[in-house]
Amino acid sequence: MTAFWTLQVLNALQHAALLFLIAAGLSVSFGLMGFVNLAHGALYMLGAFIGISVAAQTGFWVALIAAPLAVSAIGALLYLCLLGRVARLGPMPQVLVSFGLVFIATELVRIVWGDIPLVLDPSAALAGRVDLAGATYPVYRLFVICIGAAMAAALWLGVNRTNLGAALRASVENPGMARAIGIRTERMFLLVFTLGAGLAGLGGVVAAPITAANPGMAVSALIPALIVTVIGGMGNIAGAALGALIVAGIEVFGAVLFPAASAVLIYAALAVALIWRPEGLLVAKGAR
Amino acid sequence: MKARHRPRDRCCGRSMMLDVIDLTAAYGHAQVLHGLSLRLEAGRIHSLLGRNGAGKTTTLRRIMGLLPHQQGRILFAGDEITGWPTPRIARAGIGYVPEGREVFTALTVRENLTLAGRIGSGDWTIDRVMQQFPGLHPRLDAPAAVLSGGEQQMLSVARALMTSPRLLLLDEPSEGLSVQMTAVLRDVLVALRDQGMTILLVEQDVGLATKLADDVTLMSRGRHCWAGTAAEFAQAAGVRRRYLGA
Repeated sequence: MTAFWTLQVLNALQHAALLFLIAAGLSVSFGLMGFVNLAHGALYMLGAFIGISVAAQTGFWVALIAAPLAVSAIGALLYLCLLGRVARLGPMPQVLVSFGLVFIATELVRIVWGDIPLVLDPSAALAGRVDLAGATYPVYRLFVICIGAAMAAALWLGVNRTNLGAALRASVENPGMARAIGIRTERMFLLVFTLGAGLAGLGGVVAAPITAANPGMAVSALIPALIVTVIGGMGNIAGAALGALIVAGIEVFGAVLFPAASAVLIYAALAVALIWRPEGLLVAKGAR
Repeated sequence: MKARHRPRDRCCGRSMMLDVIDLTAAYGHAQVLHGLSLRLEAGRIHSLLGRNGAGKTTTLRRIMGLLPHQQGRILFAGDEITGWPTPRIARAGIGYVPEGREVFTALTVRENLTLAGRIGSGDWTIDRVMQQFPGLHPRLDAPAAVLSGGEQQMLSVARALMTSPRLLLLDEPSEGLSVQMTAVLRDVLVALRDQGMTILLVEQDVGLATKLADDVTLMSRGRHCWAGTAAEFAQAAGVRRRYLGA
């Protein structure tokens, strides 16, 4: 019985790791620019498909690095050409344009990679299972948990312990005053957007061996990531991590304990969060 | 390519630090400045006085590039900075202490200062600003959110100094300060002026503003209506009564 619950905890952690990678960029660009970037789901999907193509040529480890870099570049290009302008126009243009990009990306993926779900084979070093507290668990999924935890720690340190992170926090709290002490907030926006895109791309390529890549994943990944952002509070890494743990916990344990209600539980949690703390559990100080 | 203007850089033998010409500004549809002109000589404290709503805060925000450019020109040390983005204006050497302090509460005192110091020429270090505001020294690693209002005001001035400005804009710096804190602030401003800094002071406390000032500009309803030296202002009882009710 212990083994069963160990497995569920590990499943929840692994699911949370993926959710965190997608939600981190969404949350920070939300907090910094007030930008609801629905195209984030498409960047996640592109990470998976680009990763699969690169892995077919050069192997898993190269794909693990190359896919996030490629998606960062795509994100930066999108920001410079289109989304950076749209970000200034308010919520409605943001939602329309970024969701339009989801449709375009989905069709492009259909044309290039087809409709059949594709699976990525992880490196042989990550194959197999290990024994943990009486349960056996796939090594690859442990690897995903480690990547999520390492990224969360690195981002937290970067935001809270570096000069660049201080500039980012200042820009989230009071963009006008940040500019008045010489911080070029537009560069900050581009940097955050590019980094967030890279994280979504990493999420995509890491998820590809677990959930086969398919053109529907842009939308299916977006919804839980938005819920993570709303529950956790926008604009901060700790909030995205906490939100990811809560949403993953509800999804995994909900499916075990209340299978009949499992599909609606995260929406119920969203409703509760919106009533109880509409600003999110952890809010970046001063963020509006 | 706009011709770079260097007009009247040395007027009457004194050098101009800031020359604001026929400036307008609005918040949305509400026009607040209707053609303000303002001239600051280098190395002096200049008080901008006027009743509530005259447009004093708007003037400072507009100089800092925090409001959209409309009409008029702004020359800083002979350079045309009209329409420049705010970070560029800050980097050119204008420090800003906004109304209500606006310190970054998510950051520590030290982070507030270090961040501003990144664009400084290095003239101002944390050690040097701590000499001006020794009261902040024990709070260096505290979050700015836990400082008292007076300490936050000191931090706001210290933060502006870290950008190594040639011109310092201060908006209501004495607001909410105790008598002792106000005295500290006054001494700091005088010391800065004596080191050659130019200061533009918006201050509700007319007594403090005139005591500190070398020059005074009065504004009313978005326009300048009187300008002169502090000594001339002291003589101009009629002007004071009419525009300040004092």
